[in-house]
Amino acid sequence: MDTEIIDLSLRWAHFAAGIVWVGHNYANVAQRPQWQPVTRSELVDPSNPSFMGRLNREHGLFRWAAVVTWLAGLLILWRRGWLEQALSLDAPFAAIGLGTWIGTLMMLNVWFVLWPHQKKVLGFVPASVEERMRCARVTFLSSRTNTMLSIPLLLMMASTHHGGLVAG
Amino acid sequence: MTADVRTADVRSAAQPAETLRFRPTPFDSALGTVAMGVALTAVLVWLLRHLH
Repeated sequence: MDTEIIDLSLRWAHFAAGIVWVGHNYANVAQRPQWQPVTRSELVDPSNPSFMGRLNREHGLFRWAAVVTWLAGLLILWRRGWLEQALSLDAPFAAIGLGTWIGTLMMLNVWFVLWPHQKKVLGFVPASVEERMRCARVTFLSSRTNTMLSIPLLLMMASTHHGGLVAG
Repeated sequence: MTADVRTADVRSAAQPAETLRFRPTPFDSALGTVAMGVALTAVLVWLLRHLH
């Protein structure tokens, strides 16, 4: 297959999956701008509408979109022969390299911080009500951390092709 | 009567909290989250330009 088609397809997948993933974070911030603590009554009654809403908002699509975004990004850099220099933050690739490190942190945050705690909040993994209430706070902070990290990440991605941050 | 009131008081004191309280952070509001993101961006851009 034409190498340019592969590169274009990877970029397309990277953007599309990234929009699904980070768009989910921004939608959360817009819809629930303030911290809303989970209540005991919500957790002890699985038919509670608030709990049902929480359950319905959970979807594996967002977690897997994170993996697709991350993998496609790494593949783009690797195919172009930029990966090593980017990860070492060498001059012309420093911005996208920093973006790669931020994206890696965000992806690990989703899978190894947010998701294990979210499983307890939603009752997929047994836990006491107190622990589930505490886990809800951890998932909130983990999600907001990713929203915060996405702000510099998007700038690093944008600057790669359009310049402006680091002279090559 | 007094005994009933005392029992009720004890029950109410033993009731577990409906929600847990946590130390507030800038992430507790949308504005705080965005402000943290912009501040982090400024620091990282400064570092990138400073190091290269």
